[in-house]
Amino acid sequence: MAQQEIPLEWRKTVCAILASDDERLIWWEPTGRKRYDAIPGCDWTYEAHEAFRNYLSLPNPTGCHKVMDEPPGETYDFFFQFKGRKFYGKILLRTDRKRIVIFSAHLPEWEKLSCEMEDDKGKRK
Amino acid sequence: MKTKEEIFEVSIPTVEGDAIAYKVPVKIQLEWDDEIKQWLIGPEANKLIEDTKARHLGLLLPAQFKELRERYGFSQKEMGELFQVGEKSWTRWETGKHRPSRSSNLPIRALYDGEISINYLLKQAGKPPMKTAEPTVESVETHLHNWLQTVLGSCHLTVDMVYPENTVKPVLMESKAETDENEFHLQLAKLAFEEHGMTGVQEAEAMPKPSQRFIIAAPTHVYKQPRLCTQPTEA
Repeated sequence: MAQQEIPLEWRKTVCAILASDDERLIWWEPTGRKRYDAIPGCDWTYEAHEAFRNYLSLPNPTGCHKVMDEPPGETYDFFFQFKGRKFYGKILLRTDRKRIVIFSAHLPEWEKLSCEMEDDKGKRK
Repeated sequence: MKTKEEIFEVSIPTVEGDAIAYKVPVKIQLEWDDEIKQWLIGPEANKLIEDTKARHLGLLLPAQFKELRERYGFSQKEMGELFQVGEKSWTRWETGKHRPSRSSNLPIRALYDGEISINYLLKQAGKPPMKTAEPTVESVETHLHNWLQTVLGSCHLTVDMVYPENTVKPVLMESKAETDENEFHLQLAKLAFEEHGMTGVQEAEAMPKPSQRFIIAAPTHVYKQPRLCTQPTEA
């Protein structure tokens, strides 16, 4: 499946949380946080939050909807620009739609997002 | 809420910012989230990580920004004007919402460390000079306490100006520090005390006479170096 436009409602809610300056609403998955910290230039998490907001506020940002049994909530992954570099991001909007968990904000390991790779696998079959 | 401790290796960048110079292990607390079945890093752990990085980069911590402003009785707007960074930036640094760049931090750190005078900065900003008040015992003690708390900040070192009965000799209280870094800070504080003949916990016979009063003072600048100066005076 190709990337799809990330739904406006998800984006608006996530951007509002990122812009809220309320740290209690934004949590990080430890491995993702470590990977972010290990990249030169990734010193402060608020910079990642701002970059997320910038991307998700674009007119038609695209990404992949991550379908998982756990965690509950709605997760999208996408590529975004961070200090002039292409980064991979993955954010979970929790079921209460008031808090988010950032799973990833780091240099991409793959050229394509997960849903695009699934698509390639399908074509090969 | 279920928690567990984990070591987080905080990456400290080079001056150029294009590589990692070294890593500092910090013990952080992860919180278990029952809904999503994951250990997560919350705001407190994140603050500890970022404060560690800021300290190693030589950046002032949020509490130090506030302390510096309060030292001169300025508003956030006035501090923003003094350093030509704007009120918004100053407020963000003071609240920890943002961190200053190394270049922005430089003159602020210099003022904090007493390397440049407030009147020099006021002159550069086209403002009249300040009259500097003579420090009082209370203000010096408060500054010293704040200094220890902010410099040693995240190590949870408890420093208290305790004057046991019949003496006014201060005692360095226990530390809850456990990591190497915290142990280093504790040793720093102990050294400062010992340099002036005061150990962490005073022996009874080593106590000064009841009539003798010790004042913790900082003759030049209390913030300038990790050194406590004591001087006996008559009570």
